[in-house]
Amino acid sequence: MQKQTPASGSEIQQVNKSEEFLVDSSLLDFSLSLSFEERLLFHERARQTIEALKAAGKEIYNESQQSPEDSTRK
Amino acid sequence: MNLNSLLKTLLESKIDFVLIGGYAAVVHGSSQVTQDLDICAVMTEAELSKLRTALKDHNPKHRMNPNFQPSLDEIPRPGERMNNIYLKTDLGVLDILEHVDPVGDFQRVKEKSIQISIFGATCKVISLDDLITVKQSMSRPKDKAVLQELLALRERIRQK
Repeated sequence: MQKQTPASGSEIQQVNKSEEFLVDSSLLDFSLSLSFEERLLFHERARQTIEALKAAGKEIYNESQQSPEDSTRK
Repeated sequence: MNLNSLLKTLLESKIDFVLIGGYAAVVHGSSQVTQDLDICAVMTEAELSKLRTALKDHNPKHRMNPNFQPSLDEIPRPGERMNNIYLKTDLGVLDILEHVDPVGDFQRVKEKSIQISIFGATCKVISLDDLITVKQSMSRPKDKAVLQELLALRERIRQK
């Protein structure tokens, strides 16, 4: 099994020995610092943020689809 | 859509279930975002009745067939039983599995589950070991990512 060199900086600190995957332990530290309820609430907010970002992305994509004539102008 | 409200609703309903899937991973410490709520439960007539009551204001529909999505009130019909139920509701997606591969049936999952206090109720959550076993049997990239976090979390617990 090839050894992986962790990326520079303190973000990625832990290498799981059985798989070549890197785990961001700072995220785990933060998650474990929360109570169960706080964790789920934080998770729900993160999910809602992602949904909002996805919706915004779709809007942009739909706008570019609706104006194909713009792509012909140089 | 509000998965937290969905979980609260299920807890208030007194349905006998074990939290599995992405939300269980969050309880154990995972940072991965999940889009749905998965539980392990046996939908006997009594449990189904509790579920219907709990979800009556949240428009529960069977979601697996895009061309036919009956209400939970219609299906299963009297005398019918479904092992797995896949719903969409106004509060989010809810999957109910009677059997969690490769761990085992509801009794087995429940036997090894942990209990947490949340939203003023006690909630059974699939054990970390069982959740890791489940994720190890899955091949989707997101499951592999969650698996690595769960393995790291278990390692931390063992080192304490």
